[in-house]
Amino acid sequence: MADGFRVDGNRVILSGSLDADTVPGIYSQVIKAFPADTQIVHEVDVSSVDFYDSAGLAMVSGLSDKYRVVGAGPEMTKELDSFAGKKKSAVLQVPPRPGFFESVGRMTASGAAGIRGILNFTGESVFHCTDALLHFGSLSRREFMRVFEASAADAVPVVALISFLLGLILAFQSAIPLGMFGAEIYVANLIGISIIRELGTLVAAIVMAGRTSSSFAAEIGTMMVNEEISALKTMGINPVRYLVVPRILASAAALPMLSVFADLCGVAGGSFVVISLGYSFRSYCMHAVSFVGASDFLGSLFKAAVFGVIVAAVGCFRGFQTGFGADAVGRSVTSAVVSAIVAVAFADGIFAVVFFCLGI
Amino acid sequence: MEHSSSVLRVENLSVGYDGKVILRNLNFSVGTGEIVVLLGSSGCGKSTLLRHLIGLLPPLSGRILFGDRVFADAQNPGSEEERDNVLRRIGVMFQSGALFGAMTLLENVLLPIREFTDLPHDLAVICAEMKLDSVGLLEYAHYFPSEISGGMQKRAAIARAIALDPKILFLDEPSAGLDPVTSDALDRLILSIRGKYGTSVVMVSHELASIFSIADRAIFLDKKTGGILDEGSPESLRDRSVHPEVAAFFNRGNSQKGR
Repeated sequence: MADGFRVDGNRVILSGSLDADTVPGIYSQVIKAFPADTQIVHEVDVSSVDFYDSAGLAMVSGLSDKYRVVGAGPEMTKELDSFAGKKKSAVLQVPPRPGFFESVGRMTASGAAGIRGILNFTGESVFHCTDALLHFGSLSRREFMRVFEASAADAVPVVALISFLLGLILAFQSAIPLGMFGAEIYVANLIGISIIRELGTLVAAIVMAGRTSSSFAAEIGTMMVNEEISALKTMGINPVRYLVVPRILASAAALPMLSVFADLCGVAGGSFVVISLGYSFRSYCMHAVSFVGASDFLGSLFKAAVFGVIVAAVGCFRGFQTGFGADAVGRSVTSAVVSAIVAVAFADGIFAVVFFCLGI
Repeated sequence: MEHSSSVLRVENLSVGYDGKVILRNLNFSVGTGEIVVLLGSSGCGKSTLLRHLIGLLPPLSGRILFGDRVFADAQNPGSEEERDNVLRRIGVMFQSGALFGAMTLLENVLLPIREFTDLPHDLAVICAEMKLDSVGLLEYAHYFPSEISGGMQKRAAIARAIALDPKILFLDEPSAGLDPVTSDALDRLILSIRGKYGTSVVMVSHELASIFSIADRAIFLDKKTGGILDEGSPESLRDRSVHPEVAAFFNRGNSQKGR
């Protein structure tokens, strides 16, 4: 039997110190000795307790729900009665949680507000971007170059690596079926057209969505939390003009360059496989570019510029939507990356249809 | 007020960070149940000193003792386990409250109880409810921090800080950002916690009203010399300090009151 715990008939006598270290052992023994579902009312005698802390008091309070507590000193009685009284009378406030219809209404309203927000943001961005292009001198060159460097130059290693491996894997996988027809050299054609027309741009755009869109959302989101955006507004500076325009224009300029870089690395990756099959580098290059027309290349550059605008705009928009609290910026960043990738994939689908209709 | 034994003792402590010494050779102690306020002009190192006392920064020299346990020693850093043991015996309330936003008030208070004691769940909940009751927030146990006011958040942060019956409580500008009525209620809460649990309190504050109503002793830190300029009860510092900086600190408050 542990110290501080003694059973005497239908009575448990607690003694010594009831603190955070002794309470767990004593409590489990009391519960074991006197299961609460019996008919007899058991007593817990605390008259020999010399010391108790909050854990001890919590235990006596917990026991008083199941057993009769006797022998408590005036101070303990006062504390127990005060807490029991308050707990009984406390109208436990339940934070207002909306019901089903209210939730549906709120979701509809917030959906509509979201669409209105997107339209407002798009309108404002288009207006200010056009204005900045017409009056290029008014654009903050420093901010433009900073964003351009961060989204283009700093992304080169990761874009190079991914597109190189993509070209290599694509060539390797297609070499096997094409080899069955003795057409291994056409791997070069396949690599050329698929990388230059489609995949190079897409890889660069997805990397940019992961790196740049998230960083825009985090930067602007943190500014929202710190009330820096409010400070800009009260100074009469339009936050879209000041923050969004340089980011959109820099990204629109950066992504076509990254896309060309991705094309080169992807084609280089494919060349390793084709050369290892016994073909010369020269014939690989000839085949790789033979299927690719100027319209394919220029079309991919145009797509890249549009993707750059989409990725930057989505990142900034999500940043402006940042709410309050520790996790608000994190949520904005996550939704920026997801929305940017979805928007890029969606836009790519539209481009595929439009290019097909135009015969490009 | 008589303070029998010291809960916190600071010996030859030099504080600072990134190789920069802000305050040097500090010596003071805090008695059981004593409320000590750290004063000084902005940038004098009050908050840095507080960060050293709660173990967020290592001392540059000297040592900090809680009771007879060495908490931080520049010469002999000691084991993590020993440090953690001491940290469980102190409570800290940050200026912003620093409540975990994803948890309800009850869960915030339950966190240290669950982590550092073996109490069964039902007793841990009763214990947390008692702490919330002692700060007058029992009714709001299931609210999230974002759903209550700033003053209530500070009270909830105090409930979390006293969850493990600490011997000493550190408060960083408890009155900052609160209206006078809420600030006064918070002062009374601090006094009631001291009365109920015998907790010592070390706080950083600029609020003269709050300093006069609760502090037993004030330690005035000096930016220029990087040491303690004056020490004593707030009234004695106001009325008898020979240092012009101390007089200026308290007289500014008087002139405000006279308006």
